[in-house]
Amino acid sequence: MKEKNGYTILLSLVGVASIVYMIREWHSIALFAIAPILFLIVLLDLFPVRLLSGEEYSGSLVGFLILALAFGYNPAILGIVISTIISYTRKKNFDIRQMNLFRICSALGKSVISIYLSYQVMEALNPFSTYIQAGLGALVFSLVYMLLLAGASTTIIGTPFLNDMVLKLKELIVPVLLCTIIVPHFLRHISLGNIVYETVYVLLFLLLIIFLSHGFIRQLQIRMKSSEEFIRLSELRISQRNEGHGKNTGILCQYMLELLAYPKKRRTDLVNYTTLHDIGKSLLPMEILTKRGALSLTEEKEYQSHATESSNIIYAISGDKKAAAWVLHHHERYDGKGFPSGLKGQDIPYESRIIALCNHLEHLLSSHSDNVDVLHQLQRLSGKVLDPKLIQRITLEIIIALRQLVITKPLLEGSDLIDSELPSVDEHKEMSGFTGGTVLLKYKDHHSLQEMEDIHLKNQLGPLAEHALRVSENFYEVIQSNQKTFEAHFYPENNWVAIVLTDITPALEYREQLHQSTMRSYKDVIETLSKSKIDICLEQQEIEEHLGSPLANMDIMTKSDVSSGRSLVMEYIPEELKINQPKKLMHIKLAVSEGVTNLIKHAAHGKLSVYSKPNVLQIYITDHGSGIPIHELPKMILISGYSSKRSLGKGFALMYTSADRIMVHTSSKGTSILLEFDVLLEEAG
Amino acid sequence: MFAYQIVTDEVQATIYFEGDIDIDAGDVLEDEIEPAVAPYTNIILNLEKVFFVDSSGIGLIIRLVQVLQELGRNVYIEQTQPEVMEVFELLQLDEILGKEIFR
Repeated sequence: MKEKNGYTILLSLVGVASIVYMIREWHSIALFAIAPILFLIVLLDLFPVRLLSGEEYSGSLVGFLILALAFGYNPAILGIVISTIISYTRKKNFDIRQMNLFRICSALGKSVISIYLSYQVMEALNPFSTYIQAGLGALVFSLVYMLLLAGASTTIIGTPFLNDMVLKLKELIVPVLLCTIIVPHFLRHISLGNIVYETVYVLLFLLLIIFLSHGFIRQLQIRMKSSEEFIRLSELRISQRNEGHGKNTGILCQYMLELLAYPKKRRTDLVNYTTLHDIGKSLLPMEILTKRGALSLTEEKEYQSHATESSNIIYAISGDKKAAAWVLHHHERYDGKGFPSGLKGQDIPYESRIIALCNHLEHLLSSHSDNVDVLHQLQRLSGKVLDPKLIQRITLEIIIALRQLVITKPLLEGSDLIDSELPSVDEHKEMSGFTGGTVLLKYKDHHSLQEMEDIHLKNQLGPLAEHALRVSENFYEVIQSNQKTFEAHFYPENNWVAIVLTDITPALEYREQLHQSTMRSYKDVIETLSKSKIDICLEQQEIEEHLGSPLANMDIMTKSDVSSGRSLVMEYIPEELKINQPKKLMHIKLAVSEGVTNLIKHAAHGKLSVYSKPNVLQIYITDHGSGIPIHELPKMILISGYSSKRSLGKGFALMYTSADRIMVHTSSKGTSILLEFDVLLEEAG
Repeated sequence: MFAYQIVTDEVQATIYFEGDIDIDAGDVLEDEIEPAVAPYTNIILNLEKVFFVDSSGIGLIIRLVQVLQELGRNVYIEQTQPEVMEVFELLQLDEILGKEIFR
């Protein structure tokens, strides 16, 4: 099964022999007379007609038949030699170094055999009209050439002989029609000596077709390229490792469709949507896609939604319900355990099964460098995940050929497959320092857990174990009970489930400690930077212990409460200060305004309170929104001036400038800010 | 409390602001004032009766000025109270909008 085998060597020998024959019989070629036709052949080979199926069709057959009918066999061989060389070099982008003499000779051999048989047929039909001669001549040539080509791909790549034959026969109609129309017309006028005009006429006719087909094919290519680029961008966002998965899957699909003789008019669509099959992943949260190790049950559900999302996107692009269904079901499994619909066997759309195969193939090719491994892994999936009939078609030769097609990237260390695997022993060892006790539970039915003391935990484990039995797939879930947090891994066997239950409360406590110590260091940094003006409190209690006697408070709900808040505070500012210290007054109003605005922007609603201590006015603002990012504070204190246009929302900076002291407590549960102003509150009370 | 009045002649519109400018003034500035003055070549923001502006209010003023300047209008801010000017300076408004805008 390689390029040089008995069959192809024979073909190339025929090719060489025909050149030798042609040179020996050179005297029989009227070079001057046939020059226009040779010119025609060269042009047709340089600008082939592109067919919708993506294949190229050179009209040069027209030239061969004219040469054969008008001038005989030998000039036709000269035409073929020129045509073969031109079209071969064009395919290699005119790069001499890439030329392979053997391939040229074997291609030549195929054409020579075809034209010989075609010539014999046309000679035999001599008494009949030139239309019949040309039409049948074209048919014989194309048919023989096709069979010879199929023989070559059978011996080289191993595709079954006569693969896709019905479809290829249909395509024969193009050359046959073309030759039936052009060749007789040409021949009739040759005799009149108008050969140059005739060549120009035929050229114009063919170039028009080529021009039109070119524009159409270009649009198709643009569509494919943009699909590939879309998917590459979204893959790049997910991780470097994924880049190229969509494009490669599309490439594999194209090859598979050829192998499976899938109808040509739907091929470009299917390849295109195969490329885009994972586009829905771009709508999922990054954590899920980049998470190392197994997903929890909730995460798993979210991950699975990508098939539906992709399908919706495809439907929005194409308006094609069938195509949307192809993509929707690309994660169904042949045994019915897939998602989103749990379809089984032949109920899964054929196209979805093909996409699933290409998807797995791509993953296997990128994670295994050994082709035999890829084949074995693939066969393991047969009947479980993938359609066994499709898998049957795949041989080692095909995998070798496929690896040449995909864009290679550095292989991953170890296997990182689609199937989720158990966490490695090392990971367990690493974590064991932080985790609490782990127990192994066996679940058969709802009596199995009876001995558990924690009823709340038991009630949560039961339904999850039942779920594990139903879907017979491993998963884990995080469960809370009695102020403890557990991680429960479910490993279903035939009729029972192994539950590994780990108390992760200590690990979470450790994380909380880590957060606390981070906050403590920020407290020190900020205190130093702000010259003790800002105090970061680890507990809200610290602030509340610091409060003086309450004067007033109000709820903050809407934007209009910003000015109401200022008015409220104004009531408790001594008249004397208002008159003598307008600047101080302005600072108090400003700090209140910023504090309340901050609250409305980030927490929706909260509370403003006014307290007093001797000579100190206290403004206390609390909310239950998401906390403020403490790590921003040092920067804000160090860089006092803001001249950039982003200086809007510099509320905290203004509070820092305006207030005499600030205490802040912030956590995910909310934020409390105490603003203190030194005033002479003689009339306080 | 925030209120305004617009006085116009053929080429010029003067907006007389009155009261505090904070986040609550946003809708009025964007939906009423901006379209009303946009057609005029010269637009003057008179802040004589504004005694308080906070950072949100300044954000709104910056936005209004920049939108109008992008339309090719000449925009000026005049008769700013010293207290308000101090907040402008705290946020370096003169560097953002350019000193020549104040008069």
